[in-house]
Amino acid sequence: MIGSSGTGFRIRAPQTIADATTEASANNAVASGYQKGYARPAAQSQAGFSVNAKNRMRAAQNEAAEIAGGAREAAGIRAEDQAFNSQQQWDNELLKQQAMLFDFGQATDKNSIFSDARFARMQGLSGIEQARRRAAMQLRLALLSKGLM
Amino acid sequence: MISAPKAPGPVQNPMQVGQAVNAADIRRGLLTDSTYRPDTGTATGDRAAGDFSRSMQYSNVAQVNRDLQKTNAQVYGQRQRQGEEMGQQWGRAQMDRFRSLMGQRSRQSSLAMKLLEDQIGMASDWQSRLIGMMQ
Repeated sequence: MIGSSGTGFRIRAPQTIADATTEASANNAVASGYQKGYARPAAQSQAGFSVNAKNRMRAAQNEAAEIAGGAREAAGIRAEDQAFNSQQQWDNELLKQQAMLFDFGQATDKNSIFSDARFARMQGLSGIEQARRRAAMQLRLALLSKGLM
Repeated sequence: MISAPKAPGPVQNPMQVGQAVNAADIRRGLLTDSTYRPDTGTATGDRAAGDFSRSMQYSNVAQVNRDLQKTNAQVYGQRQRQGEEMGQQWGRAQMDRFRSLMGQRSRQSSLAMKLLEDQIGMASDWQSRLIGMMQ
């Protein structure tokens, strides 16, 4: 923020979701899928179900479905976090650009204010100089006309 | 002098919050696993349920951490935007003040110079007149 002090904006990097956190969540989703897939048939078989071919097939289908569900969830988590992080980066980039534009405008403004003041001063000085020369000339003319010179 | 607005600071530490949730949930997960018998080293089928429950709790911890980081990131971004807006307002106000100050000074100095210019003219007139009167 450039004011009369002339200091520019310092926009820091955006905060994002850490890759490790995304991976922890995604891996947990995968692990949960596996566990759901394995835990149910095991629980069923120990709760008195016979382990015949039909039940085994059902168990395998259930297992596959749960594992696939976990993988899907993990992919969703990764995609969501990537989208979120890139949105954060983009917003930050926009903010930086805005700040730069603002600073540039303020700096230009400040320079023109200085230039205006300098111009007014130079004009005044040259006016005084002109008046001084006119006076000197007038004096010489007066002296000449009176034969004093 | 108007003081510059403060830069946005950190909001919360997600790791600390996450760790607190973590500890509570792991305890809960262990309690679920009540059918495990350390004396015989055996467990009933509920052991699987206990493991499952515990893994769900871990999963929740990761999710809590993730949500917190997301919220923090959003809040941080929002504060940055607010900070920039405040900074712009402050900068504009400073520049307006500066402009009016410089304008005032330059008007004052113009006036002083004009006065000087007039005085030189007047002095010169008097000089000429005095010379005329001397003869």
